[in-house]
Amino acid sequence: MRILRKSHRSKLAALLPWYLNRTLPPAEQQQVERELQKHPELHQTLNEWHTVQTLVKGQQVQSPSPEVQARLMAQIRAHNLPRRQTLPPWLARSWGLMVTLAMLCLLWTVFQPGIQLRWQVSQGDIAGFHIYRAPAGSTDFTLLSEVAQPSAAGAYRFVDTTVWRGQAYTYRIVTLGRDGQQLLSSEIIVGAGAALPGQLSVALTSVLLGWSAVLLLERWPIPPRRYQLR
Amino acid sequence: MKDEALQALSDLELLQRIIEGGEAAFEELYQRYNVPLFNYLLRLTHDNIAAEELLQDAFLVLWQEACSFRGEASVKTWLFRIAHHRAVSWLRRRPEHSHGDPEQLPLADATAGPEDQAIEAWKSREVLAALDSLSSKHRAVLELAVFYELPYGEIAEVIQCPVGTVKSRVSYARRSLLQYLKNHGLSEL
Repeated sequence: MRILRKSHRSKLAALLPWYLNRTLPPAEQQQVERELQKHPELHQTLNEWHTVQTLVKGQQVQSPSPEVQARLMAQIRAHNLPRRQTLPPWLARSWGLMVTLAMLCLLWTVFQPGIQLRWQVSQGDIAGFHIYRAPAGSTDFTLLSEVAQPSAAGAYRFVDTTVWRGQAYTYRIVTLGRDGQQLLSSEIIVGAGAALPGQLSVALTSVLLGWSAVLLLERWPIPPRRYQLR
Repeated sequence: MKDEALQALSDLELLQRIIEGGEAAFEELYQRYNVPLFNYLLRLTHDNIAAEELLQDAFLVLWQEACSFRGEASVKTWLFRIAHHRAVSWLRRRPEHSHGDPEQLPLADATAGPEDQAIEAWKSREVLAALDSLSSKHRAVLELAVFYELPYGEIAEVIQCPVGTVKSRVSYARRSLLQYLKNHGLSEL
């Protein structure tokens, strides 16, 4: 006969009151039945629970005086107790989700978390730049963006916000002359991990704002309306 | 709405009507739960008047806060939770005492002889004293598990603590109760 470890026995014994009142989930109910068959020493604890059950259920049941109900109904009717109404939880959460998505779009646009490329060109007579991107190690470049307006200061900046964690990219910046010829090109390899802090900050801020909106909306009292529970 | 029709409604359907101001639905819900809640409160507080006041408070809260019911637990669990927390607040303001009310003793069997009735009455007092010897937090989980037969998940919802705490409190209550009975020579009950 397998010896039941003390910790396992304690865990099983803790389930016995609910085994007796048949409210255990089916899997646990069956587990207790199996263990009771395998380990007769558990029956002593089961018998103790039977005793406790008899004692507790043998208690007298009393009724409150009828005046309690009368006072309760009088209080509700006479004073027309204000009934605090709030938005249903599903509506508050839907609004919270919309706030999260709206904040995500707004913060993404404003802060542009992503890989920043900065470069300077001292030559004049530049029509613009083409920015190409390929997965690191690949030569399959695709046109990512066209920077058409030359900057008077000769300094340029581009942010690639469509980067994903775990990827590294090779960027190729091609300088275009006024006749459309390619004047210069340079390449740089950047891991997408560089963009991660900014992306996480924007995402977490959006979620936090959305969650705060949910908490606020769930508690905000509204004029009495009729809502149905689903 | 007629009484028979109201009696056929579920607790949740009654709550829907209460949200719309349905006093008849509120009275029906009161009829369903006033006795179990009153006895639960009485066993925690050991005070008849306090138990009635707390019962009234709990149902007032239900009337006022019906809209905020989220449906994550049953209406019964929600009611017990309201009542439990009212009782805990009341107990915090008053010292605990473990005296049983002699009026709570079950009636003796009228067909038994005087000696048997005396023995039964004595046993009942001792059982009541044994249950009253438990602290309110252990008595609460024992009553909810054994008398009201709530699953452990719902008990955790009522008293707002982890399931592990519910199980350990119930186990402690069993050991404590049986030890009390053994110490008072009542291990044969």
